[in-house]
Amino acid sequence: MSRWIAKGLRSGVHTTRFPSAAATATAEEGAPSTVQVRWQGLTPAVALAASSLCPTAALSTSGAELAGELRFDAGACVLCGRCTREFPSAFTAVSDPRVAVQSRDHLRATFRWNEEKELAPVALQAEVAALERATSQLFRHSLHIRHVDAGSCNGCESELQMLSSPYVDLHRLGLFFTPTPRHADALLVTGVVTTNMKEALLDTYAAMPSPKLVIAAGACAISCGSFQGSPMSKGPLDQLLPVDAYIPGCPPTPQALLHGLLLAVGRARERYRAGEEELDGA
Amino acid sequence: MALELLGISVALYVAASLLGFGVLRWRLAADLSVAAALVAGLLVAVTAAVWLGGAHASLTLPISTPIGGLAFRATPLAGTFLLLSGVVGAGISLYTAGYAPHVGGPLRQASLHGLLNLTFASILLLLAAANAFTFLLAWETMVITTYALVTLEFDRPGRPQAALLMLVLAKVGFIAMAIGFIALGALRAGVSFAFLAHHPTAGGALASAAFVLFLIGFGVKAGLVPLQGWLSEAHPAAPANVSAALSGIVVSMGIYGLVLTVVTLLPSPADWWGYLAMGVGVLSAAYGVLFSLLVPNLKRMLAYSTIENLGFMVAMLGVALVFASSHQHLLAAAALVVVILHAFYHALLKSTLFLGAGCVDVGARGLDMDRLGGLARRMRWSTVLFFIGVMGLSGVPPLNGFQTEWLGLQMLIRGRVLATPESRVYMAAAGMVLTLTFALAATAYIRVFGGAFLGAPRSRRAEHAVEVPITMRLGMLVTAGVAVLTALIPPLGLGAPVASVEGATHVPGLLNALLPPFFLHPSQFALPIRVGGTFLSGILHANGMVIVPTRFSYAFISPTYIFLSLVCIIALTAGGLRLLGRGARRERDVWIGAGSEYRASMQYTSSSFTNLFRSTFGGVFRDQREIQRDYHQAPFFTHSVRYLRRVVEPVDAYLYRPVVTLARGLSLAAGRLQSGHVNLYLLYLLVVFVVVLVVR
Amino acid sequence: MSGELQRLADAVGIQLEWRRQDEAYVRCSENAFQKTTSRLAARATLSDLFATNTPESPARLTAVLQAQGDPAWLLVTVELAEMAFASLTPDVHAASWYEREILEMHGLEPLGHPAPGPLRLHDWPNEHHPMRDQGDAVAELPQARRQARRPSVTGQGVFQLPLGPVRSGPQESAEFLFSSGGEDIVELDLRLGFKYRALERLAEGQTLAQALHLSERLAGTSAFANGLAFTLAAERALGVNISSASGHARSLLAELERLHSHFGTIGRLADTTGLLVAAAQYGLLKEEVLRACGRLTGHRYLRGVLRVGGMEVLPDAPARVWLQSRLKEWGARAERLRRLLEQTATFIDRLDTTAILHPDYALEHHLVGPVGRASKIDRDVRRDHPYAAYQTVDFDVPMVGDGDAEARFQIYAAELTQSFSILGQLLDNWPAADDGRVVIPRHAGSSLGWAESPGGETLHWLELDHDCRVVRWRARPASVVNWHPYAHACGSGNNLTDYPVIEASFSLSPAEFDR
Repeated sequence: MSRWIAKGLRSGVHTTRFPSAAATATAEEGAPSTVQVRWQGLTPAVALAASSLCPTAALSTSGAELAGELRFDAGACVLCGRCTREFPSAFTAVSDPRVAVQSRDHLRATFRWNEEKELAPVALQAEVAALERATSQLFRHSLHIRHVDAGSCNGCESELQMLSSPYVDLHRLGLFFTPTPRHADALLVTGVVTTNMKEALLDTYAAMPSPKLVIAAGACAISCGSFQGSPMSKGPLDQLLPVDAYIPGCPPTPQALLHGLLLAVGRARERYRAGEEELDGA
Repeated sequence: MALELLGISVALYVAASLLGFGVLRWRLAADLSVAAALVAGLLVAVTAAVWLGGAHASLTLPISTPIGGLAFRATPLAGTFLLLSGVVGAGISLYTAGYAPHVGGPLRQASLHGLLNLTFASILLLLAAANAFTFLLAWETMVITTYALVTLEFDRPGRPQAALLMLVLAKVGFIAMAIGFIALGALRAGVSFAFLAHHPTAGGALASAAFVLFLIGFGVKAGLVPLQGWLSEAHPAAPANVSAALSGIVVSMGIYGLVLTVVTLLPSPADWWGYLAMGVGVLSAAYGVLFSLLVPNLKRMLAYSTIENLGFMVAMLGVALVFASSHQHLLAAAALVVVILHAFYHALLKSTLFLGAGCVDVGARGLDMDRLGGLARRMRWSTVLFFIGVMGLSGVPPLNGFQTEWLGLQMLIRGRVLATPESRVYMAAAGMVLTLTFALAATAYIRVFGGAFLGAPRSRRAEHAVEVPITMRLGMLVTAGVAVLTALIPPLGLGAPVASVEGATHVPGLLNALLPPFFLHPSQFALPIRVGGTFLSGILHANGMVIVPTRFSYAFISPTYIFLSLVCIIALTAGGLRLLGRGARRERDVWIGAGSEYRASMQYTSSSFTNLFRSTFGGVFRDQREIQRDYHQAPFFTHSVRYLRRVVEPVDAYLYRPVVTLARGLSLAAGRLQSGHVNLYLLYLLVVFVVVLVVR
Repeated sequence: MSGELQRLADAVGIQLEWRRQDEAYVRCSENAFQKTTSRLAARATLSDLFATNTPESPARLTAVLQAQGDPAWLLVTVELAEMAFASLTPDVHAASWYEREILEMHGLEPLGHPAPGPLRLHDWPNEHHPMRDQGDAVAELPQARRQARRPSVTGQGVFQLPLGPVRSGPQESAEFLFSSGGEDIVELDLRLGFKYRALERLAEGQTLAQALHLSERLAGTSAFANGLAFTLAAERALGVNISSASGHARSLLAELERLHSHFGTIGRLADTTGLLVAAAQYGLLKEEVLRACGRLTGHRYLRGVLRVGGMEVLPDAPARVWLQSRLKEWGARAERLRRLLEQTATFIDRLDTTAILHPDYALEHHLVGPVGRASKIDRDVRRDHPYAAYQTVDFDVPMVGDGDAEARFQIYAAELTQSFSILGQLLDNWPAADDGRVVIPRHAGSSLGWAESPGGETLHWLELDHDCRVVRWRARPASVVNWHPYAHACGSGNNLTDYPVIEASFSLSPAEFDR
């Protein structure tokens, strides 16, 4: 046993400093967290081609060319890489892991072409004002998370398990996984909600004491992802439960998950908005 | 005065017995019988107080035989046992009022009332016996009446055999006892116990033989291994109130007998007596507690627990003998106090538990703890009273079991005053085993209470359990209430045994050594202590509420103050939560992972709770595990599985059965002598005739 | 071609129809199917048994077999006239769960099956069969109604311990109902199917690209292997050959996936025995491999890299050099950790004789992967039916005979060593880049595809129509086979406290099973 202690001490500290401002973890990751649309100068032809490539309809077009619309839903993006490889000028991979949002609409963007074949974003209906999260103040520095796998492919679970690895180490931020919903503050759901898991998911939610948060992690939970149209899917999650934070990705990287959890308790800010190029300033 | 009161009590019990038999004709007789017995019990308690106060009286009846006459006397030693008989008797009598209808028809109820009161009467006579003849006569009466009581439900399987085993072992004990008395010369006309106490047999082989014989003789009733077999069979077989009488009063008579003979009649013990008694006691305690962890039947578990407690008592008696042989008389007396105190408390609490088991049997119609559960919600009062018994005997502060176990271990620690290192090591080893026993006993009681009363009901019968009649609960309240009262007010609890021991051994200053007179000078102490000191001082010779194990050193406890603190803490916490807690309460289903519906089988049972001990101590009882599978076509397609676990009781398997087999064999062999041929009998006559002629 | 399969066919007395060099077919009549397949399965391995429901063949059964030492596959098919067939299970126990799946998904009843209960659709009404239902019935498949389950174990003091489907940490959903006498596991009642997403149904009518996308989303920790098996099936069905650079890249990435999966498995195993430092060290290694995968391909779990006919991304020379240095470092660390673990008594003692899977049992159920190899099943598709670039590398397939958790640990560790060796060989002999995109013809076809995922042999079957759209896609990842003996392994004299060790040593995925 002492050999293990010596080994642990010798191998030193590997934990990332994320989410402290200094480390926004770009080179560390090497894999994108989501995709962003560079809509200035996007032509209808590119849009059409890209949306025919997109396997989950995260990019979709409708209408005739001149009066057409391009709809982008980061919540359905599964990072297949087709659009970013084919049209790198129009679609960029976002490597900053701070991509979680609190409102579903922040992951959606709609653009319309005008007569000059220029694309302009369409303002969505009255956005919900900055949501007052009175509850989030309670769990600021100590959040106990109950995870439910509502029918995922086990990629999200693998990333969630990596949260406990020394590189990421969620415990240093006061985040813990709890085995019982009675002690849980937040419900973290992965997976499209399958028919067979729906009742179990709702029971878990009911078994948690108020106040409670709900976090949807992964494209499947946010929008059914690759399984849209499956007869066994009863999701996405926000059809069943009120969701406080959405973490896009397929699967979301561990640091994106961290950002999402911190966002839900008010210790981090949203920095991603679908269709807006520059992330919000620090 | 002392003996007159006793006489009235005996008469009342006999009257209650006759009224009890009268139930066959006259329905009201049952209530009258109970009332008479109740009054008798209370009167006995008063009598006991008088005896403990130091009254000495004696009475010799004009009936006399060559082996002694009928003589009675009042002694402080018998006082505590009289007290426990009275209180427990009163409780059982009250309980019987509600319980008797569940035992059977009018014949059975009549027998129950009648025989039970006769048993009580015979016990009173036993305690007042002044010579060996009276003692043995009363003893036999008690044995016969209890045998009849145990066979009351003779149509249920296993009952007659259990009663027979009890009778056989009682006979063995009786023979040993009688020979012991003969060895001391007690079974002669004109020789009384008082006479023998003043002219004790000089030491040596005769005294040692007598000691061993008394140990065997009273050891049967006191549940010493290997003579304890009847306890675990008869106590579960008898109806609940009879079990309570057996475990409460009758086994205490075994202890009384041991103390009476060994302490008063053999006052100069050799040291190996103590070691032998300690060894046997500790062995019995360990044996009893191990099996109490395994058996799923509630009454059997309580029976094994009785064996464990009796083992502890005999072990402490051994400690007393060791100290006495080393001339540490104060310590010996203190150890003796532990014996009698534990006998007193055990009688009260074990009878409460057995009466509670009867409540479970009546209310939930079953005693298999693995199929009970959830009784706490359905049988509230029975649960509370049973819980008092559990708390008391499991050794949790501040109640009874904790006091005596603590005192007992303190006495063992004081073994360091002994001369030789071997004796000190022996004391320490005994202490270790006893401590383990106490811890296991606590586990066993948790298992009982948790398995039978808490959680969700595991069978339909438990689901539909009903509360028992009020008289049954009141009966339990009597014994439980007295137990709690005497535990929390040490002068009440300790006072009786101390008076008994002072009367028996004449060691001065025993009370002050165990219950120091802290509060006789109250002005020297702060207000709270003054309150404790003057409390009850008018009624009792209240030295104080703090117990120390002789000569104030570094250890002392005060059950009263522990109890008061607990009450304060719990009240504060509960009150605080009530005030600070906010929000409505919601009720939700049990959380089992949101899978299939919750079933009562998804909770630990009492057998699985202690499964670990079954494996750990498996060597002692040859634990065997077997899994049988039924399958379609191949073991892979199993559709039902049976899980079997077997244990072997070593004393039963390796002692009783071989002895029985041997006895059968011998008697079969001897039976061949009676072949039925007249010619052979004539030959026998001829041979005997010739032999007599030759010898003459 | 070893001809073992031909010999087997001659012994059983059937005529083989060779559609490809390594794919032989036998079409049986209804009466002969059960007997033929049973006799074949007695001497060969039954790798899959599934049903197909298309307009042309409304009820077709296909059994896939392979013989030891022969790189060819044998497919036995039968067209059923009724909705029932003679069950293979009494003779071939390995067919048990396949037939239960056929019953619940397609409604074809296996007559004579000893225990034909549902496999994934528990508590469903009997008239629903997701692979057969049409129109509205399939659009709105019913809610499962949870019912209480009667315990099958009786005995004094036996109680049940329910675990799941919502379990303790971030784990997949599956339900385990233990019956215990106190400390020991008497019986485990396993219930999977909570994550059934109807992938096979969803893929029907999709384009190849879309179906490939779905095959990668079947599981996360074996995403690449499943995608690879699908791609292989498509390429064989359409007669497409890939460049050797693509082949090397595929083997490279498949081995990288094996690395991170086995690091995760051994890390979890160490965690369950309380060796937190070891778990942390393996966690570090796994994260580093995942990051390397992300850097090489743009996705940590190697999704979106495969394309029918080639690869979307090929690692360039600087990336390969970087990878080589990383591999050396990882290999050294892994070897040191392995040695340290083997010397830790608390670890080895917990694993020794835990969850023994006897070799006879493993043989009877035709297990695959590390679990099978720990019980003397000598099977590895990389060696037996080489694909991608595996013909060009030398490697051993480690095998141990004990069948307990320690044997499985040895296999994982040994496979890591072999993977490092394979990776080194691949990187040393990298072929010249060839980026000419292969033209994918557009016609009907059907074929098997396979890959050795970290958990074992993954088998896919693909049937395309003339428009190159999916008619039937059958995915049989490794876990579908290896969950079979799990309940039996748990019940054979183990304690409840051993359970986490058992689960970690098997390293099975409910997602792979449920699809």
